[in-house]
Amino acid sequence: MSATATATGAQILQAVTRYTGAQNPSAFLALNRGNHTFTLPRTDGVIVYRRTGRYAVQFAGPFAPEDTYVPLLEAFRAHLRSEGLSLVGVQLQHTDALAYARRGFTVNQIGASWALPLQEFTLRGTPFMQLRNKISRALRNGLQIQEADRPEQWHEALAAVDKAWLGAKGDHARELRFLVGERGGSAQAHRRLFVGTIEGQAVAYLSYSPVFGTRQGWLHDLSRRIPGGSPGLMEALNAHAIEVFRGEGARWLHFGFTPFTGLDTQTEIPGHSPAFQWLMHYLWEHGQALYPARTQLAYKHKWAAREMIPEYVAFDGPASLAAFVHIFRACNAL
Amino acid sequence: MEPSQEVSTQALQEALVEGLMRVVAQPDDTEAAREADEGLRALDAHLATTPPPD
Repeated sequence: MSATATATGAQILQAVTRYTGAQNPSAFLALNRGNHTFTLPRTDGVIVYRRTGRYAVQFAGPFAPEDTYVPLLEAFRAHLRSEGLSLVGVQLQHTDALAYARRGFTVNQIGASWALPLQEFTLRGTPFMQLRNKISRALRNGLQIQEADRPEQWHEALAAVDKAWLGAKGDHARELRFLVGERGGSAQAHRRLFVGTIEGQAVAYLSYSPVFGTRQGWLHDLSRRIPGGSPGLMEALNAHAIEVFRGEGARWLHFGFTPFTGLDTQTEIPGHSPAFQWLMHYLWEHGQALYPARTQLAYKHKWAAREMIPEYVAFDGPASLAAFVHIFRACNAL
Repeated sequence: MEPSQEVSTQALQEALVEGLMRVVAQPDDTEAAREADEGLRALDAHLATTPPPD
């Protein structure tokens, strides 16, 4: 079988909306610009990945129907071997993890994504008092929020927010990619963008991507604000968006994947590496310099996003630190 | 767990973290990668033969 190199954006979108068996809340990130795809002729489904060094870092499992999931995966493995590349998968869901383990991968939990059911959600009550106070401050400081009907009209203003945000992080700051949300491009038509302004100036924005499957809803996937200024900008934006989504009947708000979080012995897959498992727990305790997992999780828990969805890494062979590191490299975190 | 086994587990864990840091510093260094993965396998082999904590 010969592999085709590139699936179109439309093909990827079709795959992530149609093949939701794994229930991956971040599936829409498959449309990120810069992703490579692997497909087979006359075969439904697509595999999404990025190349870094001698590794192919696969995002999620194959977006494919049951009957082509394994053939696609095995063809991809063979293709990479013929190229002298090693496969590592990240953000696999539980059903993916079981499938990969059956195919001889070493699969470990690498973290979790977090979700908030929206039907009964309210910001009333003591647990949300600090959050309400922050939102109130932002609104008292003149924050106005609108959903951008024409996102392209905000491009320059939001690029300025991006520049200020990244600039405040210091000279060595790197803008993450691959496993994070994006703004713009052909996929923008499917996202929701909320912009906060003070005195007509854009000060923050929050972008959401659609989530398909049984936990249908929206993914809080890209947020930026100018440094300094009013507290509570992001909180106010998210609270506003939640009310819009609830009004539309959306059932879930997903906060996405954070590595090293939600680790649980009960969710490990048979055949996992106990050493790698220990390392993930160690990085939860001590790994802020590699990735600020605790800070990220604190934001998600602030919203009571406590529905924990375990996510997995899959090594084609024994667990490998080099493969693990290349996941972060593919994300431009290193 | 016997004290000597505890020391051994800790030593292997420390070596694993050091190996990870070396690979993070030089992701394309195949020697660092090989040593780090050997450290991972050594800890896996050790944990497979070590009784769980009381």
